Amino acid sequence: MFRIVRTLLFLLATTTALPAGAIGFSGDSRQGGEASQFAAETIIHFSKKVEKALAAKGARVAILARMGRPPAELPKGMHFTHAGFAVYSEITTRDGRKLPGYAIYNLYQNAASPNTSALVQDYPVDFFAGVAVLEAGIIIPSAELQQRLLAIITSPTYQALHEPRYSAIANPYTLGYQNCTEFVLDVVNAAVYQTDDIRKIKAATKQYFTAQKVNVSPLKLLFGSMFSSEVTLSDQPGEPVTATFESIASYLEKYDQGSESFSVLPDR
Amino acid sequence: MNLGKSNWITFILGTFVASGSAFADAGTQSEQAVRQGGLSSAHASGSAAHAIAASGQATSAIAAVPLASGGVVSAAAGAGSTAVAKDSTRAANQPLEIGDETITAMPPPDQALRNKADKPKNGI
Repeated sequence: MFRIVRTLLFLLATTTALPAGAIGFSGDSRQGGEASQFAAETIIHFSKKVEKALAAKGARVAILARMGRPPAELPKGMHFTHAGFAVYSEITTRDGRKLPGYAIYNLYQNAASPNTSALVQDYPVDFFAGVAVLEAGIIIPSAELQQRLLAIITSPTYQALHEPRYSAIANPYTLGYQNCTEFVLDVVNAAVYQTDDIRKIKAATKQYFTAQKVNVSPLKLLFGSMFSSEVTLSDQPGEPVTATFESIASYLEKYDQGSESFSVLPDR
Repeated sequence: MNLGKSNWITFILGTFVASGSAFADAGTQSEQAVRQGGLSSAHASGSAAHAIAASGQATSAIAAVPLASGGVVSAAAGAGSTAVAKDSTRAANQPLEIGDETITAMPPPDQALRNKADKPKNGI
């Protein structure tokens, strides 16, 4: 009898186990806990390449994404694991100089409390510090949307749109939980509609945005939600869906005339 | 594979936790803990960002103010815009200036050592 139970448990465990369905969003490299996959020089060079690609396009505000996991570990339909806003800025260094560059505005999962998040501003080299793969996803919105995004990012609306309760697979159509990509989408729609009314933002999201189905077995999701505080199904009334960098790119490609998306890869 | 009863329970629970925590980005402590079989391996001094700061090749920043195209930023509904520098020298979509210096949010080691707890500053 024990052998049968043991076999069933083994089958259950192995069918719901890794390869990790790493939708994987939102870790802050400065919170520690990650070993660098690449030499510091490599990260620095790549980050500067990304900055120069943004600057060459004249991007004041862009959506920037990274790969925190190898592609083989990601569910079908997902490629990038974290996204934030890159904002062209005047940066004051600790020694008092003022330099042009990009500041990144992120929603990061709190390492010490994985079911919560915080809004954190860092820089490209911090953003890419712990990546698994050197590839940057970039969406450059139209000039009009960039201007509206900047208005939101520099206003109290930006912080007001933050929902600190974090779920890695947060449903972008509902309230209660948020991940980095849902936050990006909420800010985008706040900018598009020039509103801070979250009900209007969610109504527009439901009507026009196509979320990514979470291609992970229901059993795995169920046990993930039972044993991991950073995954919840309570905001998923139906088949689990979430916002991804790719789905946001498709949304803007469809509705924001003049926007463009592309990837930056390291030098060969 | 010959596991005792308690080891089986640990294995099963660990597997389920792994499938849930799999949604965390590569950098989180929780995901590292799963990788390490439940033992947190997180030490800030060993993080990727700290390694870059320690390389001495990045300059620490204390503030960033968005530069608006043409100096015009329309106010968001219900909110006044704040802290936007005016860059009237370049129109939208024109190439922007970027230097070769690398900027980081991490403080330099001597500054970090002066802090009681070297924690990243959350919020903006």
